Amino acid sequence: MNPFEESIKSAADGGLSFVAWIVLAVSLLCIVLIVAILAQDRSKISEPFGKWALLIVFFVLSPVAYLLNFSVAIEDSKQVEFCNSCHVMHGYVNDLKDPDSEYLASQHYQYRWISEDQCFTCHSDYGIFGNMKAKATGIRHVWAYYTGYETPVELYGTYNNAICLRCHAPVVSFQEEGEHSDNAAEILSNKMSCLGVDCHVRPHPEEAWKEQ
Amino acid sequence: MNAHPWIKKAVITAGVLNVIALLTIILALVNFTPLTLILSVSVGGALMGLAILIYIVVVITDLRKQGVL
Repeated sequence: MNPFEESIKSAADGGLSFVAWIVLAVSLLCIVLIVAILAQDRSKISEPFGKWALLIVFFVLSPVAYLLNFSVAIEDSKQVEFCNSCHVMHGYVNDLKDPDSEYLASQHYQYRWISEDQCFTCHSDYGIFGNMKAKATGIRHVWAYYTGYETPVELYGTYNNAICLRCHAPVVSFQEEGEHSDNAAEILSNKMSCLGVDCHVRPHPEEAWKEQ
Repeated sequence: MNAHPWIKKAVITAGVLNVIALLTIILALVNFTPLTLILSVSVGGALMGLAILIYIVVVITDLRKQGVL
């Protein structure tokens, strides 16, 4: 790892975020209250203080900790390194970082055409529902990783051109390119894929999943 | 709440389940991996949900005993 990559990594490893600290504090407070009421003096269960404290712990503080943790987890799981924590992704991420790679994803990563969260950006659909769908799919992937999955790993369907178009469509040089303007309807309706033999190169090496 | 021994047991069970759920959350915060993420979101969420349900039953029983419901 060169000094620039190290500086980026150390900046990214800034420890827990502010929200994560809140989750940690709330979780610890809940545990302390529960233990204090239940373990040390069980007679407190029937006292008004114990009832109200447990009521707040169960119905307010714990759900708040869970929901905030969910949002922290969802945000942190967008990072490329999180995707790379599953062995089956090593080949894909190694290729992203390979200076000699000419695959499309690698070019986007190394030239920072996508500034951060590159895996997530290209594998989530447009808008809030796209993000939610991508995150639900991500949880499904993590579950499959531990319970078993089929190889080679493949997309569930065809790649959605809209993901490419959300960045490329507003670019004038893209719009003026003959192949794009001639096939605009097919590209927009997903009948013609951006990725293919006659158009753009593969995003990842075909057998990247084998490098585990 | 102190009239029924099962209520105390139910509160203790809910408390233990909730503590385990909160520990999975803390584990995911300090060591964020796919496994701890799944543990905190699915197992932690299920345990916390169960704990809340048990405590709802306890609260309703207590309110009925006091004649509020």
